[in-house]
Amino acid sequence: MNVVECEKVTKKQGSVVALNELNIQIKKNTITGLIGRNGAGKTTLLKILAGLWRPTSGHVEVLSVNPFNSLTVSANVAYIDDSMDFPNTLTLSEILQAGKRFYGNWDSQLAERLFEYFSFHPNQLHTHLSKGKASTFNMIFGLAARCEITLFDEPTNGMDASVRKDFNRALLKDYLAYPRTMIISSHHLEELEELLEDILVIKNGKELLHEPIDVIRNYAIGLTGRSELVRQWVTDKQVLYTEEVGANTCYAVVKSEGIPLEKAKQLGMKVTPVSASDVCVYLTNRTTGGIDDVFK
Amino acid sequence: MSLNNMSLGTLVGKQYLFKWKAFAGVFNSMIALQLLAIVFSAGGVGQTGTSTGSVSIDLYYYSVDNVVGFTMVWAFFKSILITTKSYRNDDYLFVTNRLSSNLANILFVFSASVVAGLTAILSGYVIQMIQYVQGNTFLTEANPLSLGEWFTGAFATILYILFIGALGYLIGSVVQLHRTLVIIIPVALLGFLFVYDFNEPGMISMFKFYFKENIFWLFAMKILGTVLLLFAASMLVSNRLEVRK
Repeated sequence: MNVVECEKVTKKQGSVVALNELNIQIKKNTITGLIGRNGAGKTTLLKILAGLWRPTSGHVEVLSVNPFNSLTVSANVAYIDDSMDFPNTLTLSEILQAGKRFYGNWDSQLAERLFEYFSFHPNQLHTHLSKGKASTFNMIFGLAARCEITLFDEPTNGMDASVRKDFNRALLKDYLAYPRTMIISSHHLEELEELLEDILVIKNGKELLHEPIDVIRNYAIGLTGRSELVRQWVTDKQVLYTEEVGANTCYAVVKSEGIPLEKAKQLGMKVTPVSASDVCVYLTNRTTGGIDDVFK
Repeated sequence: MSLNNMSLGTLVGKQYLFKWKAFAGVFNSMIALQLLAIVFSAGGVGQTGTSTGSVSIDLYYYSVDNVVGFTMVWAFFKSILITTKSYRNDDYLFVTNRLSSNLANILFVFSASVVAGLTAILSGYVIQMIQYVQGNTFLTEANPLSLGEWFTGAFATILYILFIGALGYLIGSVVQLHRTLVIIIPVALLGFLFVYDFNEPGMISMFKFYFKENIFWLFAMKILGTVLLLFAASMLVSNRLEVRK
Protein backbone atom coordinates (compact mmCIF):
# COMPACT_ATOMS: atom_id res chain seq x y z
CA MET A 1 0.00 0.00 0.00
CA ASN A 2 1.29 3.45 -0.88
CA VAL A 3 0.94 6.17 1.73
CA VAL A 4 2.38 8.85 -0.52
CA GLU A 5 1.55 9.33 -4.18
CA CYS A 6 2.73 12.20 -6.31
CA GLU A 7 1.80 12.52 -9.92
CA LYS A 8 3.35 15.19 -12.14
CA VAL A 9 3.81 17.51 -9.19
CA THR A 10 5.20 20.89 -10.15
CA LYS A 11 5.99 23.70 -7.76
CA LYS A 12 7.05 27.09 -8.99
CA GLN A 13 8.32 29.77 -6.69
CA GLY A 14 8.42 32.93 -8.70
CA SER A 15 10.37 32.02 -11.81
CA VAL A 16 12.22 29.16 -10.10
CA VAL A 17 10.89 25.67 -10.70
CA ALA A 18 11.48 23.80 -7.44
CA LEU A 19 9.69 20.62 -8.46
CA ASN A 20 9.30 19.66 -12.08
CA GLU A 21 6.61 17.07 -12.84
CA LEU A 22 7.77 14.83 -10.04
CA ASN A 23 6.29 11.33 -9.76
CA ILE A 24 6.85 9.30 -6.62
CA GLN A 25 5.23 6.59 -4.59
CA ILE A 26 6.24 5.70 -1.07
CA LYS A 27 5.21 2.38 0.42
CA LYS A 28 3.76 2.06 3.91
CA ASN A 29 6.22 1.30 6.73
CA THR A 30 9.47 2.03 4.94
CA ILE A 31 12.33 4.37 5.69
CA THR A 32 13.21 6.32 2.60
CA GLY A 33 16.21 8.55 2.22
CA LEU A 34 15.52 11.64 0.16
CA ILE A 35 18.83 12.54 -1.38
CA GLY A 36 19.67 15.52 -3.51
CA ARG A 37 21.91 18.53 -3.81
CA ASN A 38 21.11 21.86 -2.20
CA GLY A 39 18.16 23.31 -4.05
CA ALA A 40 17.15 20.02 -5.65
CA GLY A 41 13.65 20.37 -4.17
CA LYS A 42 13.88 18.16 -1.08
CA THR A 43 12.37 20.67 1.34
CA THR A 44 9.73 21.75 -1.15
CA LEU A 45 8.62 18.15 -1.62
CA LEU A 46 8.46 17.47 2.13
CA LYS A 47 6.52 20.67 2.82
CA ILE A 48 4.00 19.76 0.15
CA LEU A 49 3.64 16.27 1.63
CA ALA A 50 3.11 17.79 5.08
CA GLY A 51 0.30 19.95 3.70
CA LEU A 52 2.10 23.19 4.47
CA TRP A 53 2.58 24.24 0.85
CA ARG A 54 0.43 23.86 -2.23
CA PRO A 55 1.79 22.39 -5.46
CA THR A 56 1.44 24.65 -8.49
CA SER A 57 0.08 21.75 -10.49
CA GLY A 58 -0.14 17.98 -10.28
CA HIS A 59 -1.76 15.54 -7.94
CA VAL A 60 -0.60 14.72 -4.40
CA GLU A 61 -2.10 12.15 -2.08
CA VAL A 62 -0.91 11.46 1.43
CA LEU A 63 -2.81 8.79 3.38
CA SER A 64 -5.25 8.81 0.44
CA VAL A 65 -6.19 12.49 0.81
CA ASN A 66 -4.96 15.79 -0.54
CA PRO A 67 -2.59 16.95 2.21
CA PHE A 68 -3.09 20.70 1.86
CA ASN A 69 -5.36 21.95 4.64
CA SER A 70 -6.22 18.38 5.67
CA LEU A 71 -6.74 17.66 9.36
CA THR A 72 -6.09 13.94 8.89
CA VAL A 73 -2.72 14.64 7.31
CA SER A 74 -1.79 17.22 9.92
CA ALA A 75 -2.68 14.86 12.75
CA ASN A 76 -0.77 11.93 11.26
CA VAL A 77 2.23 13.56 9.63
CA ALA A 78 5.04 15.09 11.64
CA TYR A 79 7.28 17.44 9.71
CA ILE A 80 10.54 18.10 11.53
CA ASP A 81 13.05 20.64 10.25
CA ASP A 82 15.60 22.98 11.80
CA SER A 83 13.42 26.08 11.65
CA MET A 84 10.84 25.01 14.20
CA ASP A 85 10.19 28.14 16.26
CA PHE A 86 8.37 27.01 19.34
CA PRO A 87 6.78 29.91 21.26
CA ASN A 88 9.04 31.55 23.79
CA THR A 89 6.35 31.42 26.43
CA LEU A 90 6.70 27.64 26.66
CA THR A 91 9.55 25.77 28.28
CA LEU A 92 10.90 22.58 26.73
CA SER A 93 8.87 20.34 29.04
CA GLU A 94 5.74 22.38 28.33
CA ILE A 95 6.31 21.92 24.59
CA LEU A 96 6.39 18.16 25.13
CA GLN A 97 3.20 18.35 27.20
CA ALA A 98 1.55 20.32 24.40
CA GLY A 99 2.69 17.65 21.94
CA LYS A 100 1.00 15.03 24.07
CA ARG A 101 -2.29 16.92 23.94
CA PHE A 102 -2.20 17.20 20.15
CA TYR A 103 -0.87 13.84 19.04
CA GLY A 104 -3.03 10.83 19.89
CA ASN A 105 -0.16 8.31 19.71
CA TRP A 106 2.31 10.50 21.63
CA ASP A 107 4.81 8.44 23.63
CA SER A 108 5.53 10.37 26.83
CA GLN A 109 7.87 7.76 28.17
CA LEU A 110 10.09 7.82 25.12
CA ALA A 111 10.06 11.62 25.11
CA GLU A 112 11.06 11.79 28.76
CA ARG A 113 13.80 9.20 28.44
CA LEU A 114 15.37 10.80 25.40
CA PHE A 115 14.96 14.21 27.05
CA GLU A 116 16.95 12.98 29.99
CA TYR A 117 19.51 11.06 27.96
CA PHE A 118 20.44 14.12 25.93
CA SER A 119 20.50 16.10 29.20
CA PHE A 120 18.01 18.81 28.45
CA HIS A 121 16.80 21.07 31.22
CA PRO A 122 12.99 21.10 31.58
CA ASN A 123 12.83 24.87 32.10
CA GLN A 124 14.99 25.79 29.14
CA LEU A 125 13.54 27.81 26.28
CA HIS A 126 13.77 26.46 22.75
CA THR A 127 15.30 29.71 21.44
CA HIS A 128 18.17 29.42 23.90
CA LEU A 129 19.24 26.02 22.57
CA SER A 130 22.29 25.76 20.35
CA LYS A 131 21.75 24.57 16.79
CA GLY A 132 22.68 20.98 17.52
CA LYS A 133 20.64 20.89 20.72
CA ALA A 134 17.62 22.35 18.94
CA SER A 135 17.92 19.68 16.23
CA THR A 136 18.14 17.01 18.91
CA PHE A 137 15.06 18.35 20.67
CA ASN A 138 13.12 18.50 17.40
CA MET A 139 14.12 14.91 16.73
CA ILE A 140 12.74 13.88 20.13
CA PHE A 141 9.54 15.74 19.31
CA GLY A 142 9.26 14.01 15.94
CA LEU A 143 9.89 10.53 17.31
CA ALA A 144 7.61 10.88 20.33
CA ALA A 145 4.75 12.18 18.16
CA ARG A 146 4.75 8.68 16.68
CA CYS A 147 2.90 9.76 13.58
CA GLU A 148 1.97 7.41 10.78
CA ILE A 149 4.29 9.40 8.55
CA THR A 150 7.33 11.21 9.91
CA LEU A 151 9.22 13.60 7.67
CA PHE A 152 12.69 14.63 8.79
CA ASP A 153 14.21 17.47 6.79
CA GLU A 154 17.96 17.36 7.36
CA PRO A 155 17.48 16.30 10.97
CA THR A 156 21.14 16.02 11.87
CA ASN A 157 22.00 19.63 11.04
CA GLY A 158 24.35 20.93 13.68
CA MET A 159 24.52 17.70 15.66
CA ASP A 160 27.94 16.44 16.66
CA ALA A 161 29.14 13.03 15.54
CA SER A 162 28.14 11.10 18.65
CA VAL A 163 24.67 12.64 18.78
CA ARG A 164 24.23 11.73 15.12
CA LYS A 165 25.06 8.14 15.91
CA ASP A 166 22.64 8.16 18.84
CA PHE A 167 20.02 9.74 16.65
CA ASN A 168 20.35 6.99 14.06
CA ARG A 169 20.11 4.29 16.68
CA ALA A 170 17.15 5.87 18.45
CA LEU A 171 15.35 6.25 15.15
CA LEU A 172 16.01 2.69 14.09
CA LYS A 173 15.00 1.19 17.44
CA ASP A 174 11.78 3.17 17.58
CA TYR A 175 11.03 2.28 13.97
CA LEU A 176 11.49 -1.42 14.68
CA ALA A 177 9.26 -1.24 17.75
CA TYR A 178 6.60 0.84 16.00
CA PRO A 179 6.91 0.48 12.23
CA ARG A 180 5.79 3.53 10.35
CA THR A 181 6.67 5.48 7.26
CA MET A 182 9.63 7.80 7.47
CA ILE A 183 11.22 10.04 4.90
CA ILE A 184 14.57 11.51 5.84
CA SER A 185 16.16 14.10 3.63
CA SER A 186 19.87 14.62 3.66
CA HIS A 187 22.72 15.56 1.42
CA HIS A 188 25.18 13.21 3.02
CA LEU A 189 24.02 9.69 2.65
CA GLU A 190 26.89 7.82 4.32
CA GLU A 191 25.73 8.55 7.84
CA LEU A 192 22.17 7.46 7.11
CA GLU A 193 22.98 4.46 4.97
CA GLU A 194 22.55 1.86 7.71
CA LEU A 195 19.01 3.12 8.38
CA LEU A 196 17.56 3.34 4.96
CA GLU A 197 15.62 0.77 3.01
CA ASP A 198 14.89 2.84 -0.06
CA ILE A 199 16.62 5.75 -1.62
CA LEU A 200 14.94 8.45 -3.62
CA VAL A 201 17.35 10.66 -5.48
CA ILE A 202 16.03 13.90 -6.87
CA LYS A 203 17.80 16.36 -9.09
CA ASN A 204 16.51 19.70 -10.32
CA GLY A 205 13.03 18.91 -9.05
CA LYS A 206 12.74 15.58 -10.86
CA GLU A 207 13.02 12.08 -9.52
CA LEU A 208 16.20 10.45 -10.77
CA LEU A 209 16.22 7.14 -9.01
CA HIS A 210 13.99 5.38 -6.51
CA GLU A 211 15.41 2.01 -5.55
CA PRO A 212 16.13 -0.17 -2.53
CA ILE A 213 19.51 0.62 -1.01
CA ASP A 214 21.01 -2.72 -2.15
CA VAL A 215 20.32 -1.90 -5.75
CA ILE A 216 22.09 1.42 -5.31
CA ARG A 217 25.08 -0.26 -3.67
CA ASN A 218 25.53 -2.38 -6.82
CA TYR A 219 24.47 0.36 -9.17
CA ALA A 220 27.93 1.34 -10.36
CA ILE A 221 31.53 0.17 -10.40
CA GLY A 222 34.79 2.03 -10.49
CA LEU A 223 37.46 1.29 -13.09
CA THR A 224 41.04 2.43 -12.70
CA GLY A 225 43.66 1.99 -15.36
CA ARG A 226 45.73 3.61 -18.07
CA SER A 227 43.93 6.70 -19.29
CA GLU A 228 43.71 5.82 -23.01
CA LEU A 229 42.51 2.35 -22.22
CA VAL A 230 39.84 3.38 -19.70
CA ARG A 231 38.58 6.33 -21.74
CA GLN A 232 38.38 4.26 -24.87
CA TRP A 233 36.76 1.32 -23.15
CA VAL A 234 33.96 3.32 -21.49
CA THR A 235 32.88 5.33 -24.53
CA ASP A 236 29.89 3.10 -25.25
CA LYS A 237 28.96 2.72 -21.59
CA GLN A 238 27.01 4.89 -19.17
CA VAL A 239 29.70 6.96 -17.49
CA LEU A 240 28.79 8.70 -14.26
CA TYR A 241 32.15 10.20 -13.44
CA THR A 242 35.73 10.35 -14.64
CA GLU A 243 38.79 11.69 -12.93
CA GLU A 244 42.52 11.80 -13.66
CA VAL A 245 44.02 10.26 -10.55
CA GLY A 246 47.68 10.38 -11.41
CA ALA A 247 50.14 10.36 -14.26
CA ASN A 248 48.34 8.72 -17.14
CA THR A 249 45.90 6.97 -14.83
CA CYS A 250 42.18 7.45 -14.98
CA TYR A 251 39.33 6.55 -12.64
CA ALA A 252 35.92 6.13 -14.21
CA VAL A 253 32.61 5.24 -12.64
CA VAL A 254 30.21 3.41 -14.92
CA LYS A 255 26.79 1.93 -14.47
CA SER A 256 27.47 -1.71 -13.62
CA GLU A 257 24.59 -3.10 -15.67
CA GLY A 258 25.97 -5.22 -18.51
CA ILE A 259 29.63 -4.50 -17.85
CA PRO A 260 31.87 -7.51 -18.56
CA LEU A 261 33.92 -7.36 -15.37
CA GLU A 262 36.22 -10.24 -16.22
CA LYS A 263 37.15 -8.65 -19.49
CA ALA A 264 37.93 -5.41 -17.78
CA LYS A 265 40.20 -7.17 -15.37
CA GLN A 266 41.95 -9.01 -18.18
CA LEU A 267 42.64 -5.70 -19.86
CA GLY A 268 44.48 -4.62 -16.72
CA MET A 269 41.90 -2.33 -15.16
CA LYS A 270 41.30 -2.37 -11.44
CA VAL A 271 37.64 -2.89 -10.60
CA THR A 272 36.39 -1.38 -7.34
CA PRO A 273 32.92 -1.12 -5.82
CA VAL A 274 31.33 2.30 -5.50
CA SER A 275 29.53 3.09 -2.26
CA ALA A 276 25.88 4.11 -2.32
CA SER A 277 26.72 7.59 -1.16
CA ASP A 278 29.28 8.06 -3.93
CA VAL A 279 26.74 6.83 -6.45
CA CYS A 280 24.36 9.51 -5.26
CA VAL A 281 27.04 12.19 -5.45
CA TYR A 282 27.93 11.21 -9.01
CA LEU A 283 24.31 10.96 -10.05
CA THR A 284 23.41 14.38 -8.71
CA ASN A 285 26.51 16.13 -10.04
CA ARG A 286 26.05 18.50 -12.88
CA THR A 287 27.08 16.71 -16.03
CA THR A 288 29.73 19.15 -17.16
CA GLY A 289 32.32 20.89 -15.10
CA GLY A 290 33.10 20.94 -11.42
CA ILE A 291 34.31 23.49 -8.92
CA ASP A 292 37.76 23.43 -10.54
CA ASP A 293 36.34 24.88 -13.73
CA VAL A 294 35.22 28.01 -11.88
CA PHE A 295 38.83 28.89 -11.12
CA LYS A 296 40.23 28.23 -14.59
CA MET B 1 -0.46 1.93 14.15
CA SER B 2 -3.85 3.51 14.47
CA LEU B 3 -4.47 6.81 12.77
CA ASN B 4 -4.81 9.80 15.03
CA ASN B 5 -8.31 11.09 14.40
CA MET B 6 -9.45 14.33 15.91
CA SER B 7 -12.68 16.20 15.33
CA LEU B 8 -12.51 19.87 14.41
CA GLY B 9 -14.26 20.87 17.64
CA THR B 10 -11.86 19.01 19.92
CA LEU B 11 -8.88 20.34 18.04
CA VAL B 12 -10.06 23.96 18.17
CA GLY B 13 -10.57 23.57 21.93
CA LYS B 14 -7.03 22.25 22.36
CA GLN B 15 -5.57 24.97 20.20
CA TYR B 16 -7.54 27.62 22.08
CA LEU B 17 -6.11 26.45 25.41
CA PHE B 18 -2.65 26.29 23.86
CA LYS B 19 -3.00 29.91 22.73
CA TRP B 20 -3.52 31.18 26.25
CA LYS B 21 -0.08 29.86 26.97
CA ALA B 22 1.60 30.68 23.68
CA PHE B 23 0.18 34.20 23.35
CA ALA B 24 0.48 35.07 27.05
CA GLY B 25 2.93 37.83 26.16
CA VAL B 26 0.23 40.02 24.61
CA PHE B 27 -1.29 40.62 28.03
CA ASN B 28 1.96 42.09 29.35
CA SER B 29 1.73 44.86 26.80
CA MET B 30 -1.96 45.33 27.62
CA ILE B 31 -1.22 45.81 31.33
CA ALA B 32 1.63 48.21 30.55
CA LEU B 33 -0.57 50.31 28.25
CA GLN B 34 -3.47 50.41 30.69
CA LEU B 35 -1.19 51.47 33.57
CA LEU B 36 0.23 54.19 31.37
CA ALA B 37 -3.29 55.38 30.54
CA ILE B 38 -4.21 55.41 34.25
CA VAL B 39 -1.18 57.62 34.96
CA PHE B 40 -2.24 59.95 32.14
CA SER B 41 -5.76 60.09 33.60
CA ALA B 42 -4.62 60.95 37.13
CA GLY B 43 -4.72 64.69 36.47
CA GLY B 44 -8.17 64.48 34.93
CA VAL B 45 -9.01 63.96 31.29
CA GLY B 46 -10.54 67.42 30.92
CA GLN B 47 -10.89 70.67 32.79
CA THR B 48 -13.10 73.76 32.62
CA GLY B 49 -12.95 76.73 34.92
CA THR B 50 -15.24 79.70 35.54
CA SER B 51 -15.08 82.57 38.00
CA THR B 52 -17.46 85.34 39.06
CA GLY B 53 -16.09 87.90 41.40
CA SER B 54 -14.29 86.22 44.21
CA VAL B 55 -15.74 82.79 43.48
CA SER B 56 -13.97 80.55 41.03
CA ILE B 57 -14.95 77.03 40.09
CA ASP B 58 -12.64 74.54 38.42
CA LEU B 59 -14.19 71.40 37.02
CA TYR B 60 -12.01 68.35 36.43
CA TYR B 61 -13.29 65.37 34.50
CA TYR B 62 -12.14 61.93 35.41
CA SER B 63 -12.95 58.91 33.23
CA VAL B 64 -11.64 55.68 31.83
CA ASP B 65 -11.75 57.09 28.28
CA ASN B 66 -7.97 57.14 28.04
CA VAL B 67 -7.71 53.58 29.25
CA VAL B 68 -10.37 52.38 26.81
CA GLY B 69 -8.67 54.29 24.00
CA PHE B 70 -5.28 52.76 24.75
CA THR B 71 -6.87 49.34 25.07
CA MET B 72 -8.45 49.71 21.63
CA VAL B 73 -5.07 50.56 20.13
CA TRP B 74 -3.65 47.50 21.87
CA ALA B 75 -6.52 45.31 20.60
CA PHE B 76 -5.78 46.42 17.04
CA PHE B 77 -2.06 45.67 17.15
CA LYS B 78 -2.43 42.47 19.15
CA SER B 79 -4.72 41.08 16.46
CA ILE B 80 -2.26 42.02 13.73
CA LEU B 81 0.54 40.48 15.77
CA ILE B 82 -1.12 37.07 16.08
CA THR B 83 -1.51 36.86 12.30
CA THR B 84 2.23 37.33 11.76
CA LYS B 85 4.47 34.50 10.69
CA SER B 86 6.04 33.54 14.00
CA TYR B 87 2.75 33.47 15.90
CA ARG B 88 0.86 31.74 13.10
CA ASN B 89 3.54 29.09 12.68
CA ASP B 90 3.11 28.04 16.32
CA ASP B 91 -0.02 26.18 15.27
CA TYR B 92 1.68 24.42 12.38
CA LEU B 93 4.23 22.81 14.68
CA PHE B 94 1.37 20.74 16.06
CA VAL B 95 -1.87 19.47 14.57
CA THR B 96 -3.90 22.06 12.70
CA ASN B 97 -5.41 23.22 9.48
CA ARG B 98 -6.12 26.77 8.44
CA LEU B 99 -9.74 26.63 9.55
CA SER B 100 -9.03 25.33 13.05
CA SER B 101 -6.13 27.73 13.51
CA ASN B 102 -8.34 30.68 12.54
CA LEU B 103 -11.20 29.52 14.75
CA ALA B 104 -8.90 29.18 17.74
CA ASN B 105 -7.45 32.63 17.04
CA ILE B 106 -10.92 34.12 16.79
CA LEU B 107 -11.92 32.57 20.11
CA PHE B 108 -8.74 33.98 21.58
CA VAL B 109 -9.51 37.49 20.22
CA PHE B 110 -13.01 37.21 21.74
CA SER B 111 -11.66 36.21 25.16
CA ALA B 112 -8.84 38.72 25.09
CA SER B 113 -11.41 41.44 24.32
CA VAL B 114 -13.46 40.40 27.35
CA VAL B 115 -10.39 40.47 29.59
CA ALA B 116 -9.21 43.80 28.17
CA GLY B 117 -12.69 45.37 28.34
CA LEU B 118 -13.22 44.32 31.94
CA THR B 119 -9.82 45.52 33.11
CA ALA B 120 -10.36 48.81 31.27
CA ILE B 121 -13.72 49.37 32.99
CA LEU B 122 -12.38 48.27 36.37
CA SER B 123 -9.48 50.69 35.99
CA GLY B 124 -12.10 53.37 36.79
CA TYR B 125 -11.90 52.25 40.39
CA VAL B 126 -8.11 52.55 40.35
CA ILE B 127 -8.48 56.12 39.06
CA GLN B 128 -11.01 56.87 41.81
CA MET B 129 -8.72 55.36 44.38
CA ILE B 130 -5.79 57.47 43.26
CA GLN B 131 -7.98 60.57 43.64
CA TYR B 132 -9.12 59.45 47.06
CA VAL B 133 -5.55 58.98 48.23
CA GLN B 134 -4.75 62.44 46.91
CA GLY B 135 -7.58 63.85 49.05
CA ASN B 136 -10.13 64.27 46.27
CA THR B 137 -12.89 62.52 48.21
CA PHE B 138 -15.73 64.26 46.43
CA LEU B 139 -15.29 62.11 43.33
CA THR B 140 -15.56 58.85 45.21
CA GLU B 141 -18.72 59.99 46.95
CA ALA B 142 -20.50 60.62 43.65
CA ASN B 143 -23.55 58.56 42.75
CA PRO B 144 -22.48 55.04 41.91
CA LEU B 145 -23.73 53.42 38.72
CA SER B 146 -26.62 51.04 38.87
CA LEU B 147 -25.75 47.43 38.19
CA GLY B 148 -27.56 47.54 34.85
CA GLU B 149 -25.67 50.65 33.78
CA TRP B 150 -22.40 49.10 34.82
CA PHE B 151 -23.01 45.97 32.80
CA THR B 152 -24.17 47.87 29.75
CA GLY B 153 -21.08 50.04 29.93
CA ALA B 154 -18.77 47.06 30.32
CA PHE B 155 -20.46 45.13 27.53
CA ALA B 156 -20.31 48.09 25.16
CA THR B 157 -16.61 48.57 25.93
CA ILE B 158 -15.92 44.91 25.23
CA LEU B 159 -17.81 45.16 21.94
CA TYR B 160 -15.78 48.18 20.81
CA ILE B 161 -12.54 46.44 21.67
CA LEU B 162 -13.68 43.30 19.89
CA PHE B 163 -14.66 45.34 16.84
CA ILE B 164 -11.22 46.94 16.62
CA GLY B 165 -9.62 43.55 17.28
CA ALA B 166 -11.55 41.92 14.42
CA LEU B 167 -10.57 44.77 12.11
CA GLY B 168 -6.91 44.26 13.06
CA TYR B 169 -7.21 40.54 12.44
CA LEU B 170 -8.56 41.08 8.92
CA ILE B 171 -5.85 43.62 8.09
CA GLY B 172 -3.21 41.27 9.50
CA SER B 173 -4.56 38.35 7.48
CA VAL B 174 -4.60 40.35 4.24
CA VAL B 175 -1.05 41.60 4.84
CA GLN B 176 0.16 37.99 5.12
CA LEU B 177 -0.91 37.25 1.55
CA HIS B 178 2.04 39.03 -0.02
CA ARG B 179 5.01 40.78 1.47
CA THR B 180 4.50 43.98 -0.52
CA LEU B 181 1.18 44.44 1.30
CA VAL B 182 3.14 45.24 4.47
CA ILE B 183 3.93 48.58 2.83
CA ILE B 184 0.87 49.05 0.63
CA ILE B 185 -1.80 48.61 3.30
CA PRO B 186 -0.51 51.06 5.93
CA VAL B 187 0.22 53.62 3.21
CA ALA B 188 -3.25 53.15 1.73
CA LEU B 189 -4.90 53.48 5.15
CA LEU B 190 -2.94 56.60 6.08
CA GLY B 191 -3.54 58.11 2.66
CA PHE B 192 -7.23 57.39 3.06
CA LEU B 193 -7.26 59.27 6.38
CA PHE B 194 -5.75 62.34 4.73
CA VAL B 195 -7.66 62.35 1.48
CA TYR B 196 -11.07 61.14 2.58
CA ASP B 197 -13.70 63.70 3.49
CA PHE B 198 -15.18 62.37 6.70
CA ASN B 199 -18.19 64.67 6.36
CA GLU B 200 -19.28 62.75 3.33
CA PRO B 201 -22.88 61.48 3.74
CA GLY B 202 -21.86 57.81 3.43
CA MET B 203 -19.43 58.13 6.31
CA ILE B 204 -21.93 60.04 8.44
CA SER B 205 -24.64 57.45 7.95
CA MET B 206 -22.19 54.66 8.71
CA PHE B 207 -21.11 56.46 11.85
CA LYS B 208 -24.75 56.89 12.84
CA PHE B 209 -25.45 53.24 12.06
CA TYR B 210 -22.83 52.04 14.51
CA PHE B 211 -22.38 54.69 17.12
CA LYS B 212 -25.67 56.61 17.41
CA GLU B 213 -27.75 53.57 18.15
CA ASN B 214 -29.77 54.16 21.30
CA ILE B 215 -31.24 50.71 21.68
CA PHE B 216 -28.51 48.67 23.30
CA TRP B 217 -29.28 45.22 21.96
CA LEU B 218 -29.59 46.60 18.44
CA PHE B 219 -26.15 48.19 18.85
CA ALA B 220 -24.79 44.91 20.14
CA MET B 221 -26.25 43.01 17.18
CA LYS B 222 -24.79 45.48 14.68
CA ILE B 223 -21.31 45.26 16.18
CA LEU B 224 -21.37 41.48 16.59
CA GLY B 225 -22.69 41.02 13.05
CA THR B 226 -19.89 43.17 11.66
CA VAL B 227 -17.31 41.35 13.78
CA LEU B 228 -18.47 38.01 12.39
CA LEU B 229 -18.26 39.36 8.83
CA LEU B 230 -14.72 40.62 9.47
CA PHE B 231 -13.66 37.24 10.86
CA ALA B 232 -15.30 35.36 8.00
CA ALA B 233 -13.39 37.54 5.53
CA SER B 234 -10.13 36.84 7.40
CA MET B 235 -10.75 33.09 7.22
CA LEU B 236 -11.50 33.34 3.53
CA VAL B 237 -8.30 35.21 2.64
CA SER B 238 -6.02 33.03 4.76
CA ASN B 239 -7.45 29.64 3.83
CA ARG B 240 -5.03 29.13 0.93
CA LEU B 241 -1.99 30.53 2.67
CA GLU B 242 1.28 28.60 2.56
CA VAL B 243 2.91 28.32 5.96
CA ARG B 244 6.31 27.63 7.55
CA LYS B 245 8.08 29.34 4.66
